[in-house]
Formats: sequence, C-alpha cells, structure tokens
Amino acid sequence: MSGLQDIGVRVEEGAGDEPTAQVLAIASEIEQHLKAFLKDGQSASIDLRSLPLAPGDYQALKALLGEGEVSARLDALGPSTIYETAIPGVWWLVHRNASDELMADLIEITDCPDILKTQIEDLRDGPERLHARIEQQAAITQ
Amino acid sequence: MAELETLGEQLRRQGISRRSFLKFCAATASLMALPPGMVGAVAAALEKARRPSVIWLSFQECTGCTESLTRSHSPTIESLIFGAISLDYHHTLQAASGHAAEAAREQAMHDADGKYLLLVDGSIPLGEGGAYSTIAGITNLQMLEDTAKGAAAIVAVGSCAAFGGLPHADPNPTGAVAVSDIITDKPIINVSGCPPIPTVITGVLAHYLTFGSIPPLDELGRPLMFFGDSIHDRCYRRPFYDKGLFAKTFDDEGARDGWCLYELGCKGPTTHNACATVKWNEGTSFPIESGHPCLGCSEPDFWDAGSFYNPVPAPIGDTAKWAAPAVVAGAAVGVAAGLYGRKRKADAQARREPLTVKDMEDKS
Repeated sequence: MSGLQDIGVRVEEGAGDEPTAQVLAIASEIEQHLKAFLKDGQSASIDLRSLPLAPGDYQALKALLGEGEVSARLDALGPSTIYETAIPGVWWLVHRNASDELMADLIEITDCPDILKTQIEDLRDGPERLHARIEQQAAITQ
Repeated sequence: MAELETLGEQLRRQGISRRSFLKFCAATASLMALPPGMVGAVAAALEKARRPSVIWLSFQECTGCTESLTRSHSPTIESLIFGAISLDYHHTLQAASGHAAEAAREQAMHDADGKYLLLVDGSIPLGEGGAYSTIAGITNLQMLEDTAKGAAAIVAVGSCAAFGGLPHADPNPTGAVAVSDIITDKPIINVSGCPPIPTVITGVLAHYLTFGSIPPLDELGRPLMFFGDSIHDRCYRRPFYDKGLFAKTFDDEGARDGWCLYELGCKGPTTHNACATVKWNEGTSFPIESGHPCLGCSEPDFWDAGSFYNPVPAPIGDTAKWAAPAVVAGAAVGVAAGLYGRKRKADAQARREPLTVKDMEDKS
C-alpha cells in the first residue's frame, strides 16, 4: 500500500499566462461601470465573494488591475486596506475584523470610496473633540 | 432579555464612529449576499434595529449546525451573541443548565412574547409518543409546540430541522419529521445543509436583524439569496462539464487536472446552496474544489437519493456499460435542470420583494 506522499497531487496555483474567462468577465464588468461613471457619475461596487472564482483567479485579477498612486489603511473595528488600482477610478477595498478575518472584499468604481470620506456624523463631534484635547494638553503642562 | 436600545444607539454609546458603523454595514450586506449598492439601506435599517430575543432549540441533532455557526466570524459569534441579538437559550453555548436553563427560556418567551426568533436544529421524533428525544422530561414535540406559540418567526437550521435529515432517512426508526411538518401557522425559514455554511446561518439572522422581515424564499422555504442558484450553475468546473471533460476515477489524470466530477456522482445539478460562491472555511474551498463530488446535502431526502457516487441520474447495474449514454442523458438533464433553475431564478428575481411577517401570516 503506497503512502499519501505517493499521490501525485497537483495544486492549481498562479495566474498562468492568459487571464481566465472569469477574470475577463469581471474586467468587462469593471469597464462597463467605468463608462457609466464617466457618463452620469454613478458609482458601482462588485462583491468578490459573490462570484465563483477558480483557484488562481483572485491573484490573476489582482495582477491584472495592478496598483496605483493611492493606498490607505483604515483602522475601524479591525484593519481595512483600501487602494486605487492602476486603473483610475477602480478601487479595491479589503475589510477585516479585529481578529484579522476577512469581512468584505469589494471592488468599487468611483472617484473616492465613501468609507474614506469623513462622515458628517463624526464631523459634528469635531469641535468638541478638539476642545477636549486642548484641555487635556493644558492639564498635562500644568 | 431583549434590550430597548437600538443598534445605532448602542454603537454610538460604545464610541464607535460612523465610519466603523459603515464598515460593519458593508460586511453585513456582503454577508447577506446583498448587492453592495444596498449598504446605505442596510445602514439605515441597522440604525433603527432593536436586538431581537433569540431562542435556540436543539432536538434530534448531531450538534453539527451549532459547530458550523460557531465557525462563523462575520460578524463574530461573540459580537452576534452579546451585541446584535439576545441569545437567551442555547444548550451548548449558554452558561446555565438544568432548571435554571429552562427558567431562562420561559422568561425569554414571556418577556418577548410574539417577538422572539425561534431557531431549531435537529429533527423532531414522533415515534413512541416522542420519547426518542426529550429535554428536562419534555418531549421535543411538546417543547416545539409550546415555544413556537409566541415566536415571531422560526428558522429551521440544517437539513434535519428543515426536511428531517439523517434521522428521517429510510427506515426512519424514530418517526423523525421536520419543523414544518408540525408548525403550520408561523413563518418558517428553512436554512438547509448538512450543516449549512456558517455565514449562511448568520446571513439569515443578519437579514432578520436588519430588516425585521423574512427574506424571499423558494418553494422549499429556503432563502433565495443563498439557495437561489444550483451548485452546477455557479461551479467553477462548469467549463469542463460543458466541454465533456470528466474525471473517471478519483486519482486519474482528469481528476488531478480539476475536471468535472459529474461521472463520480456529483449532485451539483440538482442541489441548491451557496457552496460554489461563498465556499467553506472563510472562502477557502468547497467539496468539488477539493476533488469530491457534491453530496446534495441541502436537498430533502438526500440520504435516500441513491449512491453518492452514481451520476445523476444513473440506472442500477453495470455503470461502465451504461455510463456513456447515462452521461449524455444526464448531461441533457443537467443542462435542462440548469436552464429551468435559471428561469425560476429570473422569475423569482423579477418578483423579488422582501416578505414581511404580515405577508406570511396573511398567506397561511
């Protein structure tokens, strides 16, 4: 009886040379969203976890879209990484919770993802927070 | 005990920024398989949501569904238990036991009468007057009937509660039945699967928490958002099926190249679940991707549907002799089943509107 190590398992990995059909389909959807945004400013979002990706497709898509000029790290209920891909207007958002587990994996077609902008509810607390910090500083230096 | 504070108020009280709340909503929307454009609607709804009381009854089950739920992390089970819902009764997860536990259940039923969510896993045995499964001397049948009276809705978690599952399989020695065979006057959501994918369970709970209503259901009472597509229609190996490239045995060249597992008995064409997109273990893989044909565990009577390793459909007898025409016939059936499934899905989506509890009550 041969051992487990004798089974010739080939792990499918890596993008290979040409993008698969699924990657091209997503790229086509991104292109349509970009055109729609240019036409009437309508943002769009693609949830990558809702798509049937074959092994290697995720990496292939990442390689295809590349990286652009902006990358941001968001620390809110855990880390999130947000960056603009090499295609202007195409942003990639990866949200993780405090235990570093994946919560959402999104591609957004927009000029700036909403979550990067300061929310008006938080802005309203701004003056109060500033005064609190000034008082804090004053208390320390006394 | 159910709290009176809304989720929005609770988060603000905890000093969580609006931006964090939006991130939570994006994750919840993704969890519920909602299009990302609906994050705003989710945020507006969660802002006003109040923590529903949840009672979980475990009957004739293997605890696999609880095991599955505790593997869910999005939102984390802890935040789900202590934050978003009020889990007032659960055998495996609660601290209390014995009389104290039953007292907690009765208290929750009383305090949230008409409003609590009842989750059930496991089938309900009817044989010998229900004596095959009892808790604190009360038969499962009696406990279900009593607890269902004041419930706003019931979620049957797992194939046992949804369809009878393994205990219901031939010869069904305990007389096991599904929740829907006993309760007929309450809205029931069947979250089938053996077990269901963790995030499918929490996604359904999240939908109820967010919108306070039942998501759209298919004809077997399963949420369309997770059970609307067949595995076959979303399988990444579909191109191999379409080209007629099938693995013949478990370690042949085709199997190692990741070809379609149809001839090895894959029940993908007749099975509805989210395994092909949501996958298992936080999106790591699913049975077909790991090289094993789908068992069809989210369908009724999948234990009695013939061998797991006979193609769909397959005649009894020498498979080698019949395999080729069976595959051709099966391929035609598979395509037809796929097309039919797609039409049903298109119809369902055209009619798609969230059902409220009132709608379900009016219909029944």
